[in-house]
Amino acid sequence: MRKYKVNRDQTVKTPSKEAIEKYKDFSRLTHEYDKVVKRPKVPLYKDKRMFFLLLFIALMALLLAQAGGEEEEDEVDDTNQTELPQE
Amino acid sequence: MDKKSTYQEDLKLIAAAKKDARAFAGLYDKYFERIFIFIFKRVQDEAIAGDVCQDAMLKAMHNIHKYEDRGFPFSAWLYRIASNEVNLFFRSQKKMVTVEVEDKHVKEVMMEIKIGDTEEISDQDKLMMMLSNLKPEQAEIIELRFFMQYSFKEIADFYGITEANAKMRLYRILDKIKKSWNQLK
Repeated sequence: MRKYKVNRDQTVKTPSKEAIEKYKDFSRLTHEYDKVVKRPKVPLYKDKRMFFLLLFIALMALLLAQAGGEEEEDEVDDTNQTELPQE
Repeated sequence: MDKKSTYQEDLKLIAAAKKDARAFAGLYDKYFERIFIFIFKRVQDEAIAGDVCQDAMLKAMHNIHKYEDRGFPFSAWLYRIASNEVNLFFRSQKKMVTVEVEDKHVKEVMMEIKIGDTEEISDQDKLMMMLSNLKPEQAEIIELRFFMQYSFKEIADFYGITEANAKMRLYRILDKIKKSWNQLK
């Protein structure tokens, strides 16, 4: 946020050459550049979207496994019932 | 050095920087001071200008491979990056940052729009309040033209548009200010 104000008294300050030179540092820039470029990759689970995607896939896999298990149980029950000796 | 040779020299430096990021040093040396002053005029603090300038240069160095020559000076591309960084800085500040403007520049704006009495302090303050309420992108073109004394050619290069478009963009905003001024009366 910024607010403009009229400067009526003083002349507007301008930085001196020496002051500018103080901030000019290419080695610092290359150091920061290297940090950005060689930044280690964030693991998938630390990415918010990927985390939810992985969670969704895991939940789906769990539900499918459970549904598959229930179907197998039903099939076993059916075969048990058919195998019962007739009186 | 004339504009054409500067342009050619820049193209060589850019080509070198695209091949090897370390070669960005040439462009850094050449433009650091100009970009620093540009940022300083908007933030009016040396330390902040130093940090924002370094951030802008880092972005330029990181994105130099994306730079395409469209006939505008390379400096225009750098100024755009610097301007975005300044806007980001202002947005990130929770407290209000006060930007001081010379009264002669305020009077110029008032004369251009033909509003108020240029010598009247309350009118000058009213205009400053209206500028403060503008969107940063709208206030920027006024800053460039009146507070930083850019020519229309420089503004056009800055935005990568034609001079006619730059004029149209500025006068549209000045019109908006005039209308708001008349409504406030």
